[in-house]
Amino acid sequence: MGTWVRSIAEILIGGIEAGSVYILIAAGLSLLYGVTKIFNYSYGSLLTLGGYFAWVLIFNFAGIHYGIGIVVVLPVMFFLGMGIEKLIVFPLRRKAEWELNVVIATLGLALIFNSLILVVFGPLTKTLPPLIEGNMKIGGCILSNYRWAVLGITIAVMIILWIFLTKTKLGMAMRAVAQDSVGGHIVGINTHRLFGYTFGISTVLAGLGGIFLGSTYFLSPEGGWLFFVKAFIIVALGGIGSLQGALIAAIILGVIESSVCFLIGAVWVTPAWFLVLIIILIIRPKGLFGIR
Amino acid sequence: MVWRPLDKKNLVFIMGIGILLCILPTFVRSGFILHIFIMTFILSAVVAAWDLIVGYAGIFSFGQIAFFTIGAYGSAITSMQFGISPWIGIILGGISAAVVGLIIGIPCLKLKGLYVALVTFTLHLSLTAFIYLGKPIGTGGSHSLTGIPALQIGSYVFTIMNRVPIYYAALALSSVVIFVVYKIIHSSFGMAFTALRDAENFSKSIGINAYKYKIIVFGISSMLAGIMGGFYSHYVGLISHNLVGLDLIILLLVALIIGGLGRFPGSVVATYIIVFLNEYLRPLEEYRAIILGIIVIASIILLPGGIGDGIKILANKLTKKIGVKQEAQ
Repeated sequence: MGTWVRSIAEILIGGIEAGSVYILIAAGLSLLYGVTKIFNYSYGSLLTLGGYFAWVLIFNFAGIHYGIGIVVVLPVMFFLGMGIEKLIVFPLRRKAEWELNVVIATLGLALIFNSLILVVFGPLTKTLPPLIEGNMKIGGCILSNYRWAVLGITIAVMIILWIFLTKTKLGMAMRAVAQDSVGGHIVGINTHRLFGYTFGISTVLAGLGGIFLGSTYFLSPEGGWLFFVKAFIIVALGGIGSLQGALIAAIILGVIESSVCFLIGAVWVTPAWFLVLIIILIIRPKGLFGIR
Repeated sequence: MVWRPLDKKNLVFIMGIGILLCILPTFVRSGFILHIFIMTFILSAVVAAWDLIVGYAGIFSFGQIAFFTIGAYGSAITSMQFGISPWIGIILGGISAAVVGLIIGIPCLKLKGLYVALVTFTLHLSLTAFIYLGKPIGTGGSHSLTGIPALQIGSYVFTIMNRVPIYYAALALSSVVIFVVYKIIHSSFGMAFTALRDAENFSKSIGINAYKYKIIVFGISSMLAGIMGGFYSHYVGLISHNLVGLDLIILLLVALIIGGLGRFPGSVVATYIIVFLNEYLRPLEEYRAIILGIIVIASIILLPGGIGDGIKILANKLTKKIGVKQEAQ
């Protein structure tokens, strides 16, 4: 009986830990779609790119602390995101059928990023060191401090994001544009600049997620795709454009992932995610908290 | 203006190209060139079926290569495990692709295009995991599947040793598939889609059921992709999960974009250009993908109509000239 309870505790804690990183990447994707109505197919590659940037800082400028690495990478990601909006998305938005065109263009961009990573870093996988060493023991379960730190940072980031969206002028403008892009434009919001910022913030969240995933798993040129798909499934379950939906869906799917991993094996994780997606679409295509 | 390849004038043009392709093996002896042509035949049919759903039916599907792969595995497995003829295997491969297409399509074709794009792309990316899991039914797991039987007619076996017969087989099959796509575009289906695209609410009000049409066309397109996949697996004799990597899908996406969405012969012609370009860029290794990526972005920004528009104008001019000459004689 005791081991049974412990297994459930392990599954739950493992799920929340896995989910905490997923929250970050899903929040970035959801925010971007909510405000700009764009689905960025290069998101997975940007995530990997963030991890590789951190890897460069930590291993090439030897001795840089992990935390400083993160602080340096995030502004880089922000401007990269804004650059993508300015150079690729903005020229496309002015024409008809831009939705599909942006999807295709960002897919092309993902290919370029993947190949650049392959050219510069080679096909071998890289691992980032954990943020904090050491383990903690709670009631017989061994938990790494690092994963708790990730959970803490995720919560902090989500609180900052929430304050930004509800209390600052820019954040409120973003929510206004998310509700009605044309209306926002009429009342004098510079939507073009706002889209740039949103792209930047979303890329920062991707980069942060990439750095954390780089320590938990490893970095490989095409590794970001899996997390892009996972982020999408989380967003689909939570409801596209809904941040709190993404938060809850990330935890749910994190727990599903760790139980599948625990009960039938890691190979089944991706098929399980896919199955969840199909079930969501059949039962509730709007997602848990989706308005439309 | 719809470009109708089977109009009298255009028929001359099409037949000219057809005859050129038919007599090509007498001039070209290089197995490598013939191989590229065979691959082009196979892939151009896949792209034509893809254009049918993206460009005409307005379904933003990224699952075409997944269906191609399902067809390849379906055909290979049925002919290897049950020892049935590869020709029937190809049809079974097409049917299995259509079944998966319907399973995916029925829940998600009702939803917005964004969902369709992502669900089909998720299918594409998770297919590798399914191939690993399918080891008990003979997918080969993480290894590539080898020893797929070659096609044969009577006692004649289409081996890679002599590529000329398989060249004609591929040309014939590809022509049939492209003709089917053409027929669908110019059937009541195609008209329904054009109506839905141009005046959605009006078309719905006079009773055009978009969902039904989309489901049927999606199933047909998946089946065509699956059939080409089956043919491919028996031609090459070796398939692996690398098919659902990013290489092939991006290559065909480039062809689709360059060809222009919903500009029927455009994507087929573009496939010829892109597949050959890809083969000749191969020595550049990783940089090849970067060049393809840049081509995608540049063409989507600068040339959203694709070369399809350009070809349409050019072909009309050419055939008009020929037509004028004939009239003069």
